[in-house]
Amino acid sequence: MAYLRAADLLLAQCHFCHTISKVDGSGELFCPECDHRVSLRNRKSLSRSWAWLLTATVFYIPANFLPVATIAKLASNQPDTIFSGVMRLLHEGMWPLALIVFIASIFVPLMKLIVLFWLLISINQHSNWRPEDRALFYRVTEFVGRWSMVDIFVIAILAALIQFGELAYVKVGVGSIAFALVVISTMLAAHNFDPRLIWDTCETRKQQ
Amino acid sequence: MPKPLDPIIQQNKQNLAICPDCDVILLAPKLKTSERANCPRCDAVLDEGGCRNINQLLPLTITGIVLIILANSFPLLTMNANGQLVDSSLFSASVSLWTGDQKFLSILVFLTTILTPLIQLLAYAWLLIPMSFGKIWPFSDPILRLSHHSAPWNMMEIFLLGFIIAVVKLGEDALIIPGPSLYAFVGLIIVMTVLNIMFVPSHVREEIHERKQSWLT
Repeated sequence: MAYLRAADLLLAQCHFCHTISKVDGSGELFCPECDHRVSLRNRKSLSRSWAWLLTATVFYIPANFLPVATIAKLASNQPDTIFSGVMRLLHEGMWPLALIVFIASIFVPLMKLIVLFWLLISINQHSNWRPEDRALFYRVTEFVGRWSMVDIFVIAILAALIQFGELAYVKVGVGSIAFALVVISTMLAAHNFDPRLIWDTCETRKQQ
Repeated sequence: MPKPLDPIIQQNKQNLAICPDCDVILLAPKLKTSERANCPRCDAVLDEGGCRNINQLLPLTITGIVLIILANSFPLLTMNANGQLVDSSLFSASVSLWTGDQKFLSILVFLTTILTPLIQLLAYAWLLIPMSFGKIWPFSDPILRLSHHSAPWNMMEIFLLGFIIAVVKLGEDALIIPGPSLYAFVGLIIVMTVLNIMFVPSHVREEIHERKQSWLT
């Protein structure tokens, strides 16, 4: 089935108020109805996405190798990284918790980085491989990314509750700052990515 | 390129929609309350019916504001560890990070669990309260945009999951007593979720403008 692409007719719809405008010249204007930014393709979408993604990749290393928190209880005083935290939960027999933390803090961030790299590279390579699936992966990535923040909240709540002076306290590690930055920068990378680019490369391949 | 189509499309812009994800030109869907239209090519959400009835949106917003005040006024839980009692409220999570010299994380937690939900609710109230009196307060468009863009940074439900994990972790060493704010907080998450589904910015904007037009004529 043939589809008509809006950008070929220089038309763009305001994502906010759904008004369709004719976009001439620079490919970008402010919606005449609601003043929201309207563009044929998000400006510098690829370079912004790449920038946030590389930022996330850089922070990903300290986020995983530096301790996120030290929970000091009486004699024991063990700094935990994200991974060792999951292993500790597993050893203490709390496997449902270990599973949640594993999915939210290890699996999701890593998958997000891989999916975003894959999407951006596929567009740079003008790939026309399964656009429906890539679009689906993009949507899932954008939807699921926020849930990685759960570890930061756990640490914040523990820090608020465990405060018995020298006996028991929580010391927040540098790793958790890096981890929060990974979550934020992958969210921004996904947000800046323009999914219309996935379908553009398919169109150009067909025409050639 | 199909040039002859151009004038036809220009004339019928009202009846067309463009998929935000794959840029295909489609006929605009006409949706009823709580219906949703997806793109036939890429399955993106084209439009949501939402709810145009202010008499349903405004009570939810006011409920949300009452609940957010309650959720921030009392402790979420009290922990009894060998006779020592420690309270924890929503705000104290950010405070303990701040005093523990983790200013960045403290601000992040404060923004995502307290400030963003508050901004969203106040923005909804700013738009809906005057509408119920048949008025419009200034800056309706920027405020509508603000509430729209702040939505992904509202992480209350994720905080609740973190809260449950922390409670289960501590449950072995201490007695956990749920506080009054916990009920308000859970209620607030439910209200905000329903509200964010029902409050579709483009439809609320249309409602505002239809009213504006009817006063002018």
